[in-house]
Amino acid sequence: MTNREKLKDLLMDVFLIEPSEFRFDMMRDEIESWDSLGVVSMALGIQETFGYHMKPEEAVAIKGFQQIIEILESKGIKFDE
Amino acid sequence: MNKPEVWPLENLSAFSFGKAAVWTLDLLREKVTGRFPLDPIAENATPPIGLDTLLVVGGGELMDRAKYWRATQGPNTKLIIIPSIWGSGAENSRIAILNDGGKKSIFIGSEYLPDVRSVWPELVETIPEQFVAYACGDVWAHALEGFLSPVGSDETRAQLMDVIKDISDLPVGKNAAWFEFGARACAGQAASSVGLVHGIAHTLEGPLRSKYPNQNMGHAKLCSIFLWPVFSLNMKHSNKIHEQFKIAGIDEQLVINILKSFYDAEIYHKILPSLEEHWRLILRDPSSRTNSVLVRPSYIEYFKTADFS
Repeated sequence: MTNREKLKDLLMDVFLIEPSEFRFDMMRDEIESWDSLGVVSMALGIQETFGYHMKPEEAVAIKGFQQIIEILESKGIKFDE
Repeated sequence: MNKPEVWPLENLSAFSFGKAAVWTLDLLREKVTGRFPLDPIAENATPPIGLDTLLVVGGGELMDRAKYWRATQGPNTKLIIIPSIWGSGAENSRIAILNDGGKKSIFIGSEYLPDVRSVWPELVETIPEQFVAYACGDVWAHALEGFLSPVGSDETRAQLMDVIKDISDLPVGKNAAWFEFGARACAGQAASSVGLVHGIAHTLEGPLRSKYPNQNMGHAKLCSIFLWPVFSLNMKHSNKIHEQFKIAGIDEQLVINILKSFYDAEIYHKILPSLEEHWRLILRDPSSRTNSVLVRPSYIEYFKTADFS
């Protein structure tokens, strides 16, 4: 499974998004369950899946899924497989 | 006010209540009014306006109703609470949960804290052994999920670490020491949040009470039954718990043995179809979303296939 597929599975699980509705360009304001607890779940899932411990202020500042890829790539996790 | 004052029962007996009433469970009324000769309020009634003091003797639900009543109807009334059993810790918490026909409303704020809490150890003798064991499980669920919560602070973790160590040495059963540990566990988890055990209990309590009206499918029982299965799931998906226990000096194997002692396979398998039916709602519960590991939709398979005996 590629990192892109892992991230897609994770985000669908965290925010309870159906596969048919998922897009990597989704933004926070499109997702009802992306509230403060959604931020906690997302940070927890990223740590469990990619081993990267996101700082609270970093997780809160994320506005869309693409930004998560950028953060993880900046930590050496590759998404261009 | 951050915490209620703790008064010994003897101080309470000598206290000048002024215009007062005692609100208690119907089954305890005779005993309670024998010791505190105040005007009794029936369990399902509400107190009159204008009291100087309201003494409440009961379980979590009655304590929470009293806290809500005082905050909204009697802000000048002194609220004194004596829990009939430990577990909910409502006597020491800023949270009031009202249950209106299966729908729960949660209120949080210092206005929901009682002024005084006390312990009447003798009351626990009126409670059946099995209920007492579930109440101990409830204390464990608060302490453990609060300690492992990803939104807890170092301070709440330290408080709950102490509670876990203390209750690890305390046998499950009728021992008044559980009152204090229950109150401390509740105060800690109120500041840090809880996890999937509570997400399951909050979601299933209403449906299970309707489905099995005579089988006490309450909060404490559900927490007790799911403590070990949820802890087992969490450990399967994260090494973090081993590390947290190691750093805190908590005996992991001892905790596992205690959690297993609350598990009942027959009751668990009776509940399992409801767990599956309501799984999506459980995933959305705020407590589930602050579980120590991310709760993923596919994890329902673990609950259906693992052997927790």
